[in-house]
Amino acid sequence: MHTRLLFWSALLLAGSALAKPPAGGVFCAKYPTVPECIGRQPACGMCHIAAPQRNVFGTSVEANLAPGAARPLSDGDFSMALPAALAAVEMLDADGDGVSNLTEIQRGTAPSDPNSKPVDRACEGTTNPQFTVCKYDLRYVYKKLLLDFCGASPTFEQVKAFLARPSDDDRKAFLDAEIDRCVATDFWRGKNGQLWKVAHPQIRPVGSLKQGEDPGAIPLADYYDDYALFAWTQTDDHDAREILTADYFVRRLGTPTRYEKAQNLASQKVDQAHRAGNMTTDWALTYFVMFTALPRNAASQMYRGYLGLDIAKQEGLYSVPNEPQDYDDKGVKQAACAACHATLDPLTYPFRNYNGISSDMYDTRYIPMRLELGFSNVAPRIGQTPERGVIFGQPVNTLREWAQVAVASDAFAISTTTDYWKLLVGHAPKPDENAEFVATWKRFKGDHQYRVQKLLHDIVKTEAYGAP
Amino acid sequence: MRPERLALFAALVALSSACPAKVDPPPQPMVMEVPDAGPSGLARSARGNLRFKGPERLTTDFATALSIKTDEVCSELGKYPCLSVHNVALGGVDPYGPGLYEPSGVTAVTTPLVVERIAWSACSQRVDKDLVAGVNAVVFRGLPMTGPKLTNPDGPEVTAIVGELTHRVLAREPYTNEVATYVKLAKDIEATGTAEPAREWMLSVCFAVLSSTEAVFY
Repeated sequence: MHTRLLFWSALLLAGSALAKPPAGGVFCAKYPTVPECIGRQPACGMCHIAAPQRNVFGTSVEANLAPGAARPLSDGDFSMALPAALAAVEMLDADGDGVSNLTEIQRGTAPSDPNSKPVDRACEGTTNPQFTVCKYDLRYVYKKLLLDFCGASPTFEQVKAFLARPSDDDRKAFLDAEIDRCVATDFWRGKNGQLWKVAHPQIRPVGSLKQGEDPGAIPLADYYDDYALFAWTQTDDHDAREILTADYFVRRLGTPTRYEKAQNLASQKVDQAHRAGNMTTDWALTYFVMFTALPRNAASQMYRGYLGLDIAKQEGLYSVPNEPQDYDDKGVKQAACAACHATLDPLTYPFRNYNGISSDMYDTRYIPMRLELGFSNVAPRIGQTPERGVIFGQPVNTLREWAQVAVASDAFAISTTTDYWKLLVGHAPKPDENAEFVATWKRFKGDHQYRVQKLLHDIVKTEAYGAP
Repeated sequence: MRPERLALFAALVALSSACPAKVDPPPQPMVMEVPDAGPSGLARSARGNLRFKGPERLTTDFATALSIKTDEVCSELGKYPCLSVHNVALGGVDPYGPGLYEPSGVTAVTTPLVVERIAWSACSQRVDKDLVAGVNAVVFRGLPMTGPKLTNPDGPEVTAIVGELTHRVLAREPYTNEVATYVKLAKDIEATGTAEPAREWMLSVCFAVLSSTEAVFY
């Protein structure tokens, strides 16, 4: 009964679609509280080097997976057998690092990697005159905070004045005020400032194609508009979700830098009814849709950039039954391709009417019947490509609905929090920081209603940031 | 000796003989005792999460500490800001050209060379400006000199300069062992027979503090 319960739980976790491969869902049904399963599911890399090739942990599990049963296992048989196989290897140490597989799973390290294992950090030695080692240290935070948010260390006089403040509560209030002061500076929000650095992997600029300010040799589109929308959504009391849902644009003004909303910009062409934040800007359509009929690159980039799920690394796979259909005859029905394309293709369908820069229709806007009008020679069934797609197992009729589901997901909150965690703490959350990280992204999604400025205050208050 | 150095040296001699005691040195620092580590040593950081300052923060901190303009801290061939030329080596990003959207996260083989290049450039500018600035010297002020030498390497003025640099660069008081090391450095430099021992000491102590782990990481 217990096994059956796990099986049906896994199917439910996978959403309305039967997950294929369902391993992540089954894994999290068995280990619902481990770090890999808080707001996410383990990527295929938990057991595979590159599916179907298994790593040492996956090999160990496979040896205990329905021994003697004919291969390949059906999804149902696989899901039924996996919990027992995982249980059978819990006390083993697949990677030989001296820590059992179960402990590694519970602590969030990789049971397949000897270099990844839990680290218990004991506070060693006596005292340290400069830092309160192992505890949150306000003086240490003050220096870090000014460097991170304002770009400069405090002066000797500033440090003395800070230490002379009457109480720790007063110092904490001062630090909060300093964050708010610094995020208004150009170091934080100006051109090429810290916020722009967070946005680079999402916007992926190309200088030679830049139009407008700082034009390149082949000016095609102005991605500074994308940075402006990004900066707007991440500052003041603005809603970070609008990076994917905005039906407006933002222009950058003056020094010190200001951003202001604009219903239209000369550099942007998509009509208001079909705008979806930075997914439908002139740059996004020029660079990510470009010449393609079915712009899988656009969908996968948005999935990676804004939701932190890299399909190329087999992350975020929520396979949809009877997919991929391969409307554009790219051969993605082959088994080696279908594992990812059963997620990627339905993710892409809502982009079908967003045009890039194909020579026949050089017009970066939403064009109804785009595939029928401009790409009928691509494949016989190209016109059958639906606009209705699926994201996280949830059907969506348009890209705007796609965006709404995306920003409501835990993945969006986790991805946004991770971006700023990396910027401020200096690395992606480590296993021993997981509890603080989970609490932080949950507050960002819940209490703070996606206000990045409040998220920044929360990160600074973590031990990960403030304990030397 | 190069002509510009000769001119600087002449100006230095002229200034030191014309107004040897009119400039007050920085106030004496509250030199701290080196903490007793005890048998189990100082408490170690549990996280060990030192972060390299990177191009912008490093340049800004050097400029602020030595009171020079950010764009004057360092340039290659007198034209190109070191911040731009060595951006990637300093852990910066270069998104628009080569598509380097995120910093590598680790310091490169050439990073220490670049940090030292920038520190040396910044210190050279501060020292040379202060040597001709007389009463308007910013960091290296009030140092009694006899010709090109420090009049008294053990004197309180030298300790004051060490304190001033430590305040400006590290935002703390110096330790006794730091002061002792830098005083000894003055004597060691003079013993080499170099033509400008006072200037060499100023440069060296500035460079040592500016390129220290404490100044470069946070």
